[in-house]
Amino acid sequence: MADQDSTDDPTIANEDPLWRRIFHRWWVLDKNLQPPRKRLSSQAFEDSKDGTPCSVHLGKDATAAGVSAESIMQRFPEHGMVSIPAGIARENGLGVVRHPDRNEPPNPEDPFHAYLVGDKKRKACVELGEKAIWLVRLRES
Amino acid sequence: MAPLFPQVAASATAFGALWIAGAGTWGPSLVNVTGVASTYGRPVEASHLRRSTIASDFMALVAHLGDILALEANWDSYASPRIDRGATSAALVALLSLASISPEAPAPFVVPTSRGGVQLEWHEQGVDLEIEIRPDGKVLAFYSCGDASHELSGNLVEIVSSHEVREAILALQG
Repeated sequence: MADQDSTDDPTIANEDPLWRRIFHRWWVLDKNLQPPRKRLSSQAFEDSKDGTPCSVHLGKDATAAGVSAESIMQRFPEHGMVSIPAGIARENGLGVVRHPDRNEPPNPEDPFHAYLVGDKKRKACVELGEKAIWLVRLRES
Repeated sequence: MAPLFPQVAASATAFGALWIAGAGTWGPSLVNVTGVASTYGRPVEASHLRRSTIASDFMALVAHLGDILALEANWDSYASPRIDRGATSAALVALLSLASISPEAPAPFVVPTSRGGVQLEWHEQGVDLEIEIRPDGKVLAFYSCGDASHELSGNLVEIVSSHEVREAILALQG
C-alpha cells in the first residue's frame, strides 16, 4: 500500500477538477437512464488490490503548469479521461490528498497525482461514475 | 485454479478448460452488447437494447470473461494486476447459478476490477445489481431498486443464494 496521509486536503477546492483515466471496459450500458445510454461502472473509482486509494490528477494544478488532459493521454492511447469536481467526491464521504509521484513504475513522473481517500461505498462510486464528464473520450471501435 | 475458490473449482472445471484455453480467441463478439460506441450522452442504438439472457448469451459471456482474463498487467494504466483465474472461474459459476434461479435472468456486463477481480453488473428494469468477485475469494454485492439499496459481502455461495440477489434477478426480468 502506498504511503499516504488519509486527511482531506482543504487547499483543494470543491470546484477543482479531478482527472481520472478510464479503461474502455468500464463503460457500461444503463437501461435505467432515460433515454438509455452508457455510463461509467462503479469500478472506475475503486481502490487497488493492495489498498492503494483511487488515483487522480489534480486538473487545476496540471493546467496551471501548462499540462493538458490531452497531453497526459498521449501516453495512454487505449484509455479515455474523465473529470469530476472534488466537491462531488466530498459529498460522497471521500477526501482528496496530494501525492506527487516521482517515477513510480510503471508510469512516469506525475507531480499532479493525488488520491481519493476514504471508505468507498458502492453507492458513492456509482455517483462518481454518473457525475463524471469526458475530457478525452475513448477511441471508437 | 486458485486454491481460494475450492467450492467453485469442481463446478468450473468443465467450462474452465474450454474457455481459459481459448481466452480471447473464440466465441461470438459481444460488441453489439458491450462495445464502445458513440454513446457519450446520446441514446444508444436499438440493437444495443435487445433483450438478452445469460442462457441466450452464455457463450458470448464466456468469451468476454476470456478477454478479461487475457488482459496484461497495468491494463487500467494504474498498475493493476492481471485478472485472477479463480475470480473469473467464480464469475462463471455465478452466471450458471443465477441462470438456474431463472432461465430468463438477463445477461450482465462483465467488468474487470483494478483489484484483479471481476464485476458482473446489470442496470435495467429500474434495478441496479453489481456482484464483485475479488481475487481473495471475497464477494460483494450492491442491489438498488427505487429508494432501497443493499450492500452485502460474503463468499460466492452466500451472495448468490442471498435473498437480495435472488430478488434482484427476478426483478431484472421485469
